[in-house]
Amino acid sequence: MNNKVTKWISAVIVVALFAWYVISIINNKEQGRDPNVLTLWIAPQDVQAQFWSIVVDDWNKSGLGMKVVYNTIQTSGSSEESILNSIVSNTNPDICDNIFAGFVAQLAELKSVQNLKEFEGFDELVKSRQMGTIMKGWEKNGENYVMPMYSNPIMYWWRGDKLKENGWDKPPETYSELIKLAKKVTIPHRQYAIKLFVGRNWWDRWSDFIAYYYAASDGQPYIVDNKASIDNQYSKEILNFYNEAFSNNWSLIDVSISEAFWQGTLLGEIHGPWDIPYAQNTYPEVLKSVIISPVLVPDSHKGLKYTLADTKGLVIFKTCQHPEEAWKFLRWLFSQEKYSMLWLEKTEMPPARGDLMTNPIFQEYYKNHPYSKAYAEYVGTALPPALITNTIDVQQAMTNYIMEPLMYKTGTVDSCLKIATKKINDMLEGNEL
Amino acid sequence: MKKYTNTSMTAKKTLKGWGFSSVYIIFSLLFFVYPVVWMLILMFSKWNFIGEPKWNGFHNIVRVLTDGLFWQSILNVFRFMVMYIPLVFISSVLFALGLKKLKYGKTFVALSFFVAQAAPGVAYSIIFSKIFSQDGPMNAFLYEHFGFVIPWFDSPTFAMLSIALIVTWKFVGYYGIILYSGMNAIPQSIYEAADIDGANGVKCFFKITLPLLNSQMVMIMVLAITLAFGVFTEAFLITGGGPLNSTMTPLLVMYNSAFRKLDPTFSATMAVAIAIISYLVIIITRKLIEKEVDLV
Repeated sequence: MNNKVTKWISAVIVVALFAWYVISIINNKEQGRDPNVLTLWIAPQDVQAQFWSIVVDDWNKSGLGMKVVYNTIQTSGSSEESILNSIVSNTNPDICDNIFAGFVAQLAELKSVQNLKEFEGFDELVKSRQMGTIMKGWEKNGENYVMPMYSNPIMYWWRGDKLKENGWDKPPETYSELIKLAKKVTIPHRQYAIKLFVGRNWWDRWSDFIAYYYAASDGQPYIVDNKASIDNQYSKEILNFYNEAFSNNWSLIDVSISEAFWQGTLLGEIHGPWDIPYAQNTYPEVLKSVIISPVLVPDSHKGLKYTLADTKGLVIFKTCQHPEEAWKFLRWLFSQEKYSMLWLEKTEMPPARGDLMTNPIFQEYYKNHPYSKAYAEYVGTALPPALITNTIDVQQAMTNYIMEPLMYKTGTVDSCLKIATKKINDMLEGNEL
Repeated sequence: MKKYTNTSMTAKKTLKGWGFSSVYIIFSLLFFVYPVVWMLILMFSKWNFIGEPKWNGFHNIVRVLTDGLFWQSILNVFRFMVMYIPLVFISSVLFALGLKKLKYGKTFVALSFFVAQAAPGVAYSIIFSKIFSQDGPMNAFLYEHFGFVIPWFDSPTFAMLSIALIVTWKFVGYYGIILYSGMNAIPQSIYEAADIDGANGVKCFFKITLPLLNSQMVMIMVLAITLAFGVFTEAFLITGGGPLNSTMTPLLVMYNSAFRKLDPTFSATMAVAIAIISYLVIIITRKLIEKEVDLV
């Protein structure tokens, strides 16, 4: 055999070995999951990772079931996109956290997630945590695909120090109070009372229009029988208020300013309880003056103040080879109050359970944590978003046909509501690929 | 015997040829042919990532062509081109002329501009969004000295212009170097002859430099048009397609449709439509501006 032939054979062998290596990596990724390990994906948030590291460690040490390994969701745009990509590429985990109501409707439609009601002990678990009312918001055709982890009511944070400087000892609660405050404090490009348009992402509508709709309508759903239910008096009151605020430049419009509240440019802004640890570390002095209050309501509003719940939970995927083992892990986790307490301590987000204000273990905690308590008080009147598969389309339509036309004065309140209702209904009725 | 040797040699050469080409062929099959075939299948299918695609006739084509957002994104591409092409072309010509006039430090200056080309899109998008935000340094300066601010990303009129400015910043070095190399290729004797005939600098530029840079200009135009149809990172990270869909680019519509709404067949069909439209725009542009240029 001459030299050249030897070289060629060697080259072919090298290429073949490399190809085999690449293929084996791909195969391992797709099918080579350790059958004796459950994979869990969690939200990419430091405080949540701290919670899960303790829980997973405790579970693995307990020897009560299959080993669990956790990873944070690799987010490029949003968690939902990463999870969908993982389903498509068959790399999804067995259990996944950070699932919101609309997304679970999509996953259920794709038949990707397990109906948790089929597992032994589900009803008892729900009962023991007094989650009956909470679970109703998560039901789809009588089935439950999610174990809700937390329920964050959408609430405003107000700069108490700035309010006091302007002669206010408590935050505004109604539209006319806000207008009164805005007239007093607005300095164009320097200081604003509020940011009514939270952002352009579809999920930002949870923090403005939908939260305001729940507050104004005492928790009426905005989708009824698969049709938009927004062309009514509640929406008109909200949008007339928005319209007045936008027309007079009383609302901060620039969505790229992230620290306006902390720097004093903005007096009131929507924040979640996950911002409490951040504020404690970054702006401890400003936090001392922060007052947490519910979403603004019309002047005529009486009674309980409803809001939207930013609520997320865990699902078990149908691709999980050991669903009973996965459920055993979830049941173990959710049946122990100490882990609800740990969640609260680590994240400051209210665990999804109905006994937060009555259970002594939580009462004790809330005595020393007034910011968390402010959220816990509204868990009972915080409702999840509509459980529909077209969440993104519907909320994008709210941006395109309600919020932006009002902000940029290309539509009136009536025309916005009419067009948005029609567009949303078209989407809901079409509901096809 | 001689015949056998020749055949053996030819076979060896053929084998070598295949060996060298195989890398490119495999690469093209994997990353070009396979996606294109898959895209064409999706164009006529109903599929949401799960299960097998089902035949859907021409439904997707009708959906794309009757979709308002698709046409809005096409309109936005043309709006972008109207702002971006003059901006980037004038800046690149000025950069190339400046570079030509430099006696020392040419490499340093060229690299300084060219480095923007290597900057990651995500990083500079975030930086620009901060620089141009309402409380950013740019508006602080304007407010301090002139008493007004510009809603760079919050006005439907300014948002696309702001993106065009950012992309211009990124590409001015690259296009400038292309023009600079073209300017260097123009023989000095042509300028000397024009000088003898009494032509001034401006006349030389418009009558000699620009016409003789035709091939570079065509190249820049083709690159700029291709880029205009592919704007994504800046719009995705800074404006999200707003306000009022004024920065909604075709790639953003396709991305949202495929990965947020689980509708990849719409995106695949739109991709084919965009490919056809961009190809037509390039063909028309070349027909309009391309000229036979002979430097000898």
